[in-house]
Amino acid sequence: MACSLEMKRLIDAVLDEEATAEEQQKLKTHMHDCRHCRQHYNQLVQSINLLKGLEQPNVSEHFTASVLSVVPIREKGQTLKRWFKPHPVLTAAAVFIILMISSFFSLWQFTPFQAVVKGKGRLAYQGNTVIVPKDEVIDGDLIVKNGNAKIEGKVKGDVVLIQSHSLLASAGHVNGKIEKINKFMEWLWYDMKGFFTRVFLIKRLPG
Amino acid sequence: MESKIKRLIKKIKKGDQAAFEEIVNLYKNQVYNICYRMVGLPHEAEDLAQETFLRAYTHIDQFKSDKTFSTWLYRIATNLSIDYLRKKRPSTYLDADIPGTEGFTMYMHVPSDERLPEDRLIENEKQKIIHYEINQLPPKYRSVIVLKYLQDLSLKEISNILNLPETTVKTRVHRAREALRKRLRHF
Repeated sequence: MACSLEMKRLIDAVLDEEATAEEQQKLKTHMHDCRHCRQHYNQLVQSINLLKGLEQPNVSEHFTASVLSVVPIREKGQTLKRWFKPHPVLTAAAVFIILMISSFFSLWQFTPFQAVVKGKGRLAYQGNTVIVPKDEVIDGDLIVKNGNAKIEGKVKGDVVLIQSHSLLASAGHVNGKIEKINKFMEWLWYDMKGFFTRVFLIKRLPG
Repeated sequence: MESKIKRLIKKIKKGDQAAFEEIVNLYKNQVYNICYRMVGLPHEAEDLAQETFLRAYTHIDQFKSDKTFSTWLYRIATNLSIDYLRKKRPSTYLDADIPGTEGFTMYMHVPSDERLPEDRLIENEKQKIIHYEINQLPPKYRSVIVLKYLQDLSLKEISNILNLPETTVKTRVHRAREALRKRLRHF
């Protein structure tokens, strides 16, 4: 055994290759005089050398083949599954977004011709064209989807044209602004604005 | 080497068996040796090594590419070996007494190559004795000895493999070294 705890600590430090040059010298000097520590150190070094000299046998020749014979073959389509498994929240979010976008998109694509007056006023129709008659005054907004608007009378509010064209809409006929929405994203934005207005400013709406 | 391993792992994640075969060939001897020194028996070690690669393949998605692959793989191997030692009945230890053959042990039944030159024979005996003494250590000391002195890994790598703080690994190395010194001092 090493003769003191301090020497034992020094021996461990040297064997861990963490001892400073000073510590190494200290141990060396001490071991020169102390038979116990010298023997202890030499036995440790010998054990380490014996361990390091152990042979590393090779695994049998057929090892790789036998491993490959037991691993399951991955089916096609599992790549997606394997991605979804560790990311449940992202997966849920992605599914939600896909459903949202596709529902909005189908609304955008398949809404038939539609003309709505928010407020008071009469409209006349001619095929896909909505007409504000000459002497009519629309007291509110006019919203036209997938058609044409022919404004001969007056609109006191805004005119919103979604995928629609105005055939005659000089600024004089419309008191509010004329908003043209021809892109999906614009429409989405317009719809969301409307949604939030309805949700948060519900008291301001007429009726 | 590191980037080659990363490339192979990526391929395995996509289901490439050839890439997996390459990984097995690269690591099979290291993994086998860890298992062999941990459990002491060649046949069991080979089964454990096979199980290690099988688990690595089926759980490859749990391997994060910013980690070192060998560390991950060796962790599976040591954990499987420690589990095996836990489940194993003590009577299958190499040094267990076989009823009716007092003084004899299973250890003497391990076959050795025939007709070796004398120094080879001595070397062979020496190897067996060291192997035997490693197997007398408790598994927690055995694992650090195997990883440090047989696999030549750093304390940091060992602490990652065993999921233990570096200071704990260091203490175990010291204690294991001391235990082996006592056993091997008359060599």
